[in-house]
Amino acid sequence: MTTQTPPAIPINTVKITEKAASKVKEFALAKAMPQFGLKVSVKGGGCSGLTYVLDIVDGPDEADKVIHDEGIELYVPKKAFVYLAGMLLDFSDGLNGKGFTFSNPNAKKTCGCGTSFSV
Amino acid sequence: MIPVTKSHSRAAYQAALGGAAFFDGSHLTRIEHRGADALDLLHRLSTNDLLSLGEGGVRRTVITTAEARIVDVVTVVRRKGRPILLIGSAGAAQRLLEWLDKFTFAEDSEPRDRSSELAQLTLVGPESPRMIASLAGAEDLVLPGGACGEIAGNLVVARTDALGIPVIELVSQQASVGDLARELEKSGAVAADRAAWDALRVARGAPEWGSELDERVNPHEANLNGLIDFQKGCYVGQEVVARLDTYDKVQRRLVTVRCDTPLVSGAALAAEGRKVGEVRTVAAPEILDAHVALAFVRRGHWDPGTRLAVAGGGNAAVVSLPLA
Repeated sequence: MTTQTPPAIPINTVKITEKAASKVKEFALAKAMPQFGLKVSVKGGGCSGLTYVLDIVDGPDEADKVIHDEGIELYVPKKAFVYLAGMLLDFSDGLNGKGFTFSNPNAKKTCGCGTSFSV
Repeated sequence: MIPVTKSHSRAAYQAALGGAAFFDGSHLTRIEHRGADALDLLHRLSTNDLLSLGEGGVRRTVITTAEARIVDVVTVVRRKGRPILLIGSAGAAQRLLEWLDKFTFAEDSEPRDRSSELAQLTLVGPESPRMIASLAGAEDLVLPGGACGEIAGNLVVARTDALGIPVIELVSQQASVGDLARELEKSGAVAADRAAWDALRVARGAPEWGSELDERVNPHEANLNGLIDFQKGCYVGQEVVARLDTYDKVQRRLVTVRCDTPLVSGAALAAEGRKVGEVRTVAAPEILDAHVALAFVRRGHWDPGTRLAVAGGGNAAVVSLPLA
């Protein structure tokens, strides 16, 4: 078995892989949303302190940083950006897939299920 | 401050067990926590289940770090149609506000320190629910454990039973606390002092911030297991809290020890010549007719009956709780 190191992401942005972006488009289509973006945020909680939050929304909030990548818009609240800068959002499917996965250089510790982290 | 220091500590202690005694709780932290997401946020940051806490409910919980160290032990008072009232340890306002802010991103959550505007009395003892009924002018009113209410629109009463006996927090405006204290005394409650409070804590194994609790202690070590809901799912610190329990990894525990000579806070406790513990809060001997204290002891030395040597002389033993 080989493992792949995720590509280095500039620390002034958040990136999404083509596969993850395609999955987001699929979900938006299912929700019949002609205009959409992916809100990428965090909330307090989860075993390690912070939990990733993904939501398909119809536009950014005033306090969101808007990032264009792989044909979609990512909306990252400025307060959450501090914890997410340099992160790559991917999607892992299949029988043992984990769904959306997060390669976050700010995460010093991640909990067992991978959705919670501490910085 | 209110005039509660002139009473006799022993009488006050006995009143807390057989009647009612009240303590000045004004030094505690009181935070008014507004916002639609306030309860959910507190639920995600602490050990107890708060989502099931309905309006009119009171529940104690431990806010923990990701490493399961204690930020503070708080009482969540969910008033009907009013903002949540959080009661924390003395001097904890800044620490709690910063902690809540750190985990607030998009939530509707506005905590505000109201410690200096509000005063607080802690009423303890089997007669205290009756006194609340009397204050409310409704003799048949029964305030059950884990419930809160308001009297005359500005006196919050919240029953926690934190010591394993009826304990009711009364939060009032600063200006009316003197009248409240006089009213309680008229009803037969004894004004109690710090020494009586510490004796109650020692006799019932209850830790307090600064004496037993700090940011290096986890809830398992401090007799706070009753405030942990192991079924609630994720919260900050949950993984470590659950692991310590599942794999039986707790390395020290808070116990009460009895000694044949006077104890002093900070004294080392030893077994077979090796330090295995340390004395913390010491109860005034004239209250409990014995030399007893809270102490942290290491694994293997916390069962009742375990004998320990006290540094400087004296033989101590871990005792079963509660003491009479």
